[in-house]
Amino acid sequence: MRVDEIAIRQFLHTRYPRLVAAVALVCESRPAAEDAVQEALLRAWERSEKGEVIESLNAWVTTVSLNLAKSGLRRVMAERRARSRLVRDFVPETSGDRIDVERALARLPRRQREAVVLRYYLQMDTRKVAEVLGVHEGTVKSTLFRARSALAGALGETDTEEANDSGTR
Amino acid sequence: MALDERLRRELDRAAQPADPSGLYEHLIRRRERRQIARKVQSGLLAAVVLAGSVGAFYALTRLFRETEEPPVAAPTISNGLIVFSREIPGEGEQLFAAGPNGSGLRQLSPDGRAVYRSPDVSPDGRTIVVVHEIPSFEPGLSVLAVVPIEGGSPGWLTEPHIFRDPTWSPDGTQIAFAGSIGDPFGIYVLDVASGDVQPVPGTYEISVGHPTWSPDGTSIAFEASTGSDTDPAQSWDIYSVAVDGSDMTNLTNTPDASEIQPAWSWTLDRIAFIESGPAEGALLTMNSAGTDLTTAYGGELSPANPVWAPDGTALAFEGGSEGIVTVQADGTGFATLPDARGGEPAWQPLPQGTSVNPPPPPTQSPSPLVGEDIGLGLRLCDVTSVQGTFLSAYGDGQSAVVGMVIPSDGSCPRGDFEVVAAVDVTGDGVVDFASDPFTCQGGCSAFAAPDVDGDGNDELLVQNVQFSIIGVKLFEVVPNEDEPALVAVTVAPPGDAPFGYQGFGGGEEPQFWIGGDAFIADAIRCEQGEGGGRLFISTTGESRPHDSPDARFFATETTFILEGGVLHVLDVRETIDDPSSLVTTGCGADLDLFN
Repeated sequence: MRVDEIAIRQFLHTRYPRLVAAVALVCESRPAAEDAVQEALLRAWERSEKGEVIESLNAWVTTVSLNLAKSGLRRVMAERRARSRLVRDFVPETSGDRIDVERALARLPRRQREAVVLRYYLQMDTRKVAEVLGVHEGTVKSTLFRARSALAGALGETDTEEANDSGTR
Repeated sequence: MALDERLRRELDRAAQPADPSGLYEHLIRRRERRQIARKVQSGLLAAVVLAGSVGAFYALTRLFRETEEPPVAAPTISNGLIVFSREIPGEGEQLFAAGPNGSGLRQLSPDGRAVYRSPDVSPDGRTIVVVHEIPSFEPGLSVLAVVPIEGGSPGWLTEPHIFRDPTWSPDGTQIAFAGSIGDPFGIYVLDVASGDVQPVPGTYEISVGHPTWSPDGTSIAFEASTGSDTDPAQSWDIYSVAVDGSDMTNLTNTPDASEIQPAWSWTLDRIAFIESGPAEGALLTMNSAGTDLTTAYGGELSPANPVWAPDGTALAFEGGSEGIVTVQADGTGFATLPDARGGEPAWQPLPQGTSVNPPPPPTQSPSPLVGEDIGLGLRLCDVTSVQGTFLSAYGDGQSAVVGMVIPSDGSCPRGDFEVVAAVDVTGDGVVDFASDPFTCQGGCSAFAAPDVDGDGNDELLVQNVQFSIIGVKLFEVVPNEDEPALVAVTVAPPGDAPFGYQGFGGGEEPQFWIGGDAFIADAIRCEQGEGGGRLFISTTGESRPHDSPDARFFATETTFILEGGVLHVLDVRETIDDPSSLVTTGCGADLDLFN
């Protein structure tokens, strides 16, 4: 597809809000997530202008923003110290459940965290998750299995189901 | 299934979708910033203004003090190039030079959107002082900068203020200009070595412009008017005044005519000027007492901005549509310079023994090849370099390089690997001293060479993080007794803890941020301290809460002074200023990534 102003605007109003939220869940930093998704979007735009074909803007930007957020984590860690004064009095509203889920997510290895967020928040099927993460579908299933087991323990649930689902998209 | 449902439900509740309002426009701006950042990264932009202000002071001081006798009135002085400014559509005003017959036309200033205006060539013929503007300056602001006569990057002599018509003193140690550095508009004198600026008393109480030095360097002539700038019948005269403000004299004193743009010949002790009347105007000359008037040009062109040939035999001036024009001092030999469209000519003096053709530029350090050992005993890849003056005693042609250390398997690493920064002060392509290896956090490169502490030696900024915001580490050359060292600057204990902040810890190597993204704007800049010394200021801020129409900008400014490789925290304060709105002059290097 061609990435132009129309495609960018459409992406911003349809995919962008939830993708930022998803990346923020993975990398634990909303600014880094915004930055990563915007950067990925710009790169897609620039590549398209240079003639590169991007089959699915959504998949491409999701993959690249997750990768960018990895390196962005370093910046976030460094910034966190420098900005402690700025952010210490800005604490978003939280709920007990949210802290539980976020804490549980944070304890997962990064790849498991990515798989969980793509599967359960962005509601991708395992095939799509595999495509975005660049791994085999079987790897996604085993990753999700381990992630759910860990989350069940952390959240006091029993992991009873779902390994071969097809998801909703 | 219960777990899956709970994960879906709670992740959906935990996640905070972003508001895309206005983001497309933000992306456009961000894209433009990225393009600028890339330019900086590749060294193009950094190379434009890397000479560093005080570095230029010292280099120039050395340059001119080597000449014990002022070359001013030497009978053997001859005429070199005519330097002038030319407007280039889309690129501002650039600096050009050509021989007196128009031969050898060349551009002296680097390509790019900038303004180089009102050139004047130093008495030894080597250095041009100009009024210089870059796009990020607020309208009306400029710096005084120097450009080598053979062309090249400008070195800033000042911070941005209002400058007009700079002109070298006969001994090359001072530059007079019309302007304002926060005070009333007047005639000021900049001491090149110290950077000290002093007003010429009495000149800031009237409208003034176009200063020009007397041959002995004790007086300055200038155009002035005691009338109102809004009066269409305002009359201008040529005045002279001693540098200490005494002996203010109206040399022309013609209430019904205006005389402007004086140029004092150091060879003839005569002053050329433009008489501006109801007709096209004329180019006249007079002696330093204001008498013995002669007409050098009275033709149809509207002459402007005359300048003497250094040997006093001719004049060049701006001849309207004809561009730069020359005429003999007696009014004969009128000639236009071919292809010399432009204005504000300056004429290069050539003291005895120097050549009409400028010397070739100093040898620049060659960019090391990938895998080449450049004197470290190890091989580097992804090598980037930046020009600067890291040890001013070694003169021009210095560079700093940053490269990744190639491990034993011979591959060029990616990701977190060791990086070395090193400096080549002799310009032979072999580095002379290096930093300890440090870990690159991604996208490391030689970024810029500003003079952070104002000691005449540039510091090195190494890009450490490449994101929408650029993270840079600061290195300084410490001139030890045995061997200079390039050290990563640290923060003196206790850092900023006494101010209640934790951004710059004592003993740590600080990382500074430049640029901005959706919510963040960061900048670094330098200012002259009230008690002397140059201050280094890091501003980092963000708007919060994110995604809210009620978002406000909060920023923190941390002020340091750099001494011996250690940054001392002087102050930390909160501000609501968005750093992107600041003029981020970057301590002599252009680090403004916002515009």
